[in-house]
Amino acid sequence: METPVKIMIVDDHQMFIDGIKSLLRKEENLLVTSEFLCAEDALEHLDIAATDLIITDISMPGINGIELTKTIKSTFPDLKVLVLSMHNDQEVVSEIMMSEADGYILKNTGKQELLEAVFKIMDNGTYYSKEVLSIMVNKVKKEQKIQEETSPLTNREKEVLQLICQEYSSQEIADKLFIGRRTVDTHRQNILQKAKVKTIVGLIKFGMKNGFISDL
Amino acid sequence: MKTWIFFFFLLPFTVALGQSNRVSDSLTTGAKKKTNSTYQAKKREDTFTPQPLEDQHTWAEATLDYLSLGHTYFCLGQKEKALDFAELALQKGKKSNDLKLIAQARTMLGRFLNGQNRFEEARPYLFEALKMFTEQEDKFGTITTMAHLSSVYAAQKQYPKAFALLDSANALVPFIKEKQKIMVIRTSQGMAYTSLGRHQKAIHFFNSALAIASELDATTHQMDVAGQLATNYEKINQFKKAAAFYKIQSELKDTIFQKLLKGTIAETKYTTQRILNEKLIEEQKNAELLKTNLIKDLKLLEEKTANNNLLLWGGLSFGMVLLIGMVGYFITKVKETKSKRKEETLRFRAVLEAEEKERARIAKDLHDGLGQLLSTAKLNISGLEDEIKGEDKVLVQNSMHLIDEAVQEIRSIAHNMMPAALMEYGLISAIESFARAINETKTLQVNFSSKAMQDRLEKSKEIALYRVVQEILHNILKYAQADEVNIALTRIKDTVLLTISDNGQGFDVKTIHQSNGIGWRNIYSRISMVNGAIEVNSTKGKGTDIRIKIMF
Repeated sequence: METPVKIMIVDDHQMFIDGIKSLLRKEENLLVTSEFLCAEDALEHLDIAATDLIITDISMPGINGIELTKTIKSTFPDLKVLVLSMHNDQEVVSEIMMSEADGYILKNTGKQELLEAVFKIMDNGTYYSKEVLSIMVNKVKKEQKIQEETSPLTNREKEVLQLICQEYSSQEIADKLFIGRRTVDTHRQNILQKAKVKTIVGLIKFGMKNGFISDL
Repeated sequence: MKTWIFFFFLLPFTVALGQSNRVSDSLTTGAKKKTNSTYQAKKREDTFTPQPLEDQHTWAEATLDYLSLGHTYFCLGQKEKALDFAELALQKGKKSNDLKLIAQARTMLGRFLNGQNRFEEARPYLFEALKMFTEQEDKFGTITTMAHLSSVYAAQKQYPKAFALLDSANALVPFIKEKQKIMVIRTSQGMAYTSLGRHQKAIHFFNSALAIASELDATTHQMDVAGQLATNYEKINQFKKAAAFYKIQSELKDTIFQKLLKGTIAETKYTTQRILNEKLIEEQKNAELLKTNLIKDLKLLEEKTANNNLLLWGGLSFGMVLLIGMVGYFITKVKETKSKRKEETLRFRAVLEAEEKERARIAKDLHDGLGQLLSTAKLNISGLEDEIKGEDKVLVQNSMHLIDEAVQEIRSIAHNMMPAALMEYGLISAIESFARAINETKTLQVNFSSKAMQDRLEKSKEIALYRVVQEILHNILKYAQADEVNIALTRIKDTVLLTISDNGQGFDVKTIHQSNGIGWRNIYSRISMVNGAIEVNSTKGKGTDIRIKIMF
């Protein structure tokens, strides 16, 4: 990566923000450009040009992390969101996923996991655990009723979608299918259009509804 | 130097008096001021440079702090916490090598364990303390310890031993001249007589202790004794007096809290003051609530007794309408019993609700507070990981593992206290995730299904049903030797039906009411609190069916 990933951190504990900053300081590819102690400030001062990824806490006074994610994803679907939380209740995590955040890690994480999640998300992947995905399948199936008309996917697109649902990043899909990374991104764009969704997690939900990841 | 000697001469004495509020409760004001200013000066120093607890003097000081904190918490009814502090006091006391302090800590520990009905554990501490006090020829310590030991024996129904101990303690009392000491002795004697069921005698001793306490303006002690008097009056059905003393106790408690908050507690430099203060305010509110309820209940009882008497006299004077009077009396009596039961239910419900609220708060504090701090610590250590090389790397990794374990532990404690799922996502989610957790252990297969339960129930009903499911599943895991349980939750109009059936070994349903365990009692009372009904069917060898119905 030539230009570093520009990161915004939102957490109501300054100490935690400082912790993440000091972890990321040594990474040349990552740059913390802004930090906020509450979601309201983050939304007010959001500079889309200076932000590629938002790392946010869930429980914050006022607007919580889930609402923040929903707001951001509905206006800027390409802006990546990684949620950090103290909760590992599966209900909470699947709610995070429903808000279309690109990934989720527990707060008592280490440097390695944090970096892994960030890089995977920045490469158009998602970062969730398998258990959460399987709960999601049930949840998504329940809301199947309001399904929109979609144009059929090509076989290649179906393959790509299946891998996206299994949380593969662009590079990983490219390696797996022996095609170029750019080709993968083109496929992804096409599937997004056909599925009439805007985000990666939106795609995963689409895949779940249409039985592309029944084997989870 | 002189002050220091004086300080140490005085300190054990003050604590022996059981005074947490050493400044205000002290009689020996002149001497006390001296001690106190030394203390203050030392404290101020410490705020800037935290001193390692090295020398025996500091240990002794710490012991005293813990002793007085323990006593205060005990008086405030925070018995668990009191016990913790007594244990800490004994630990630090041992480090200080001060035999007197060690004996005091042992007595206190024994007394508090006794307060929690842990008699077998209490006895050895009191025996040790008694031995030490006798060797030190400390008559005051000997008497109080004997009285506490007597309480333990009384609670264990070993009355001859209890009386014998009290008698030998009484024989020593004339040797004691100091008023404060007499006050403490009278209190401990009163407590022993309370345990023995001799309430009149207990009241006599407590009254004399209260008189001395008021004379000396020893607030903490007054409060303690007032509480004891209230309990004893309640036991002999003098509710008016009991209510009056509860009131005194609660007012004094208020005063003491104010004092504690104003900074007397600052003397304990080993405890983070801010956290303590917050907790104290919180606890004060809870305690206040319970106390007011109790006073109200007692007043109601008192009024009812009065009504009762009136009715009786009426019936007697109107000889002709004696029969009607009797019938009237009978009806009122029935009504009274009913309303009394209703009141009891209400009170119990209030206690339960307060408990659940407290659980939710503690769970949240643990999870969001402590968990957050640990996570941040781990993040910081994780940042160092790359820079540390060689053997030290193992240390860093171990520390991170430990933090992970701690967070995991906190999470599971918080979850047991109050599952976040129950609060935020409702009963169904909570039972689902509980079932999932059990299924993951592969010891028992839990199948859960629900019908027409989309709408959330009232919070108290959700909590009741969840706790009941929790309790029953624990019972099944423990005793039933089942490998499959079916739980179904169905809503039919205004009724929610919960059925739990297992394929275990079953049991004799008649034993439910005889069992001493609190498990079944909890289940029954929780269900009755939310106007529900429970039916248990079980055949030996054929599993158990439990049906619970809750109406709206």
